Amino acid sequence: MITLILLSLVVGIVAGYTGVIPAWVQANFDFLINCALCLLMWGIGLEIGGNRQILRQVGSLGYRIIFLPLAVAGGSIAGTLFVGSLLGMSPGDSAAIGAGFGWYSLSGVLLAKLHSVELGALAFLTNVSRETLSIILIPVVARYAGPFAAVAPGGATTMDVTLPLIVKFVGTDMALVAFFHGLVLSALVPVLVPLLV
Amino acid sequence: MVPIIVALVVGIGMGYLRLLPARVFPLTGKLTTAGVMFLLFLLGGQIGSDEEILAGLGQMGVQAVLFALAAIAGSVFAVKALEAVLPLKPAEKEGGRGV
Repeated sequence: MITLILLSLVVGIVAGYTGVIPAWVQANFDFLINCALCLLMWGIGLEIGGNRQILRQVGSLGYRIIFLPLAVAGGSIAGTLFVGSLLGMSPGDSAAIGAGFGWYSLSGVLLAKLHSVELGALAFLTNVSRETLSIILIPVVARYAGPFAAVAPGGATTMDVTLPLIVKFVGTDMALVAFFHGLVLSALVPVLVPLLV
Repeated sequence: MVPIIVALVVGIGMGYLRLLPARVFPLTGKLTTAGVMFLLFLLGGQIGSDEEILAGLGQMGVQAVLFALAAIAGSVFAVKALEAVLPLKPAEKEGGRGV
């Protein structure tokens, strides 16, 4: 998946740089992006809504578990707000980058469309870094900060990419928690990013 | 922004209510992958045709790592703070399932 994603981006950069993108595509950039984005959001909605059984099982975890993804959402945004203020960026832009929660493809294309190509590129790179750094840091966090903190770095990716890693380092009893955490954060990305920016 | 949120909400509703035939549903995953690839191609196209952004990619990479580290640190601290206020337990150790 990451190979396909990086390949699409690189092919796009080369195409843009060499100027082989047809004029009619360039003239209708906005329209094409809107169509593709709506289609993409519809598909993401289908996948989120389709997890009905899992949402039912979550009841067995107790109501408190909803605070876990909410804390991670707040902590992530607070972190990027802090760095953004050091770099002299506007609070809205910094918060929107943090609200990607590691879902680089979606946060990148959303911000490129809703704000600017620069912010889209920065959100893409930030959230790719978040996923990569999570893979490195989850074992460390699991050891020194415990099982729930170990779910935090992965953000939205704890329902797919980083799920096996979390299970490996904190045990299978955290699998449902990690999946639910990733699902809630994934659902928050397409809502929070447009609202914050 | 409004059409995007509407598309998302319609999708969640259709997914939850199982409005798509079981045969069609698995294809939507492929559709979203194709959509992401197309959008990233266009984002790449916009980056590639803008020399200022191309020149700034290196510096942007450093900023990106700082943002990512801060987001991770912030979220870990937030979870530790949450645990201090509200103890969390993993699924199997909860006891009394379905409560």
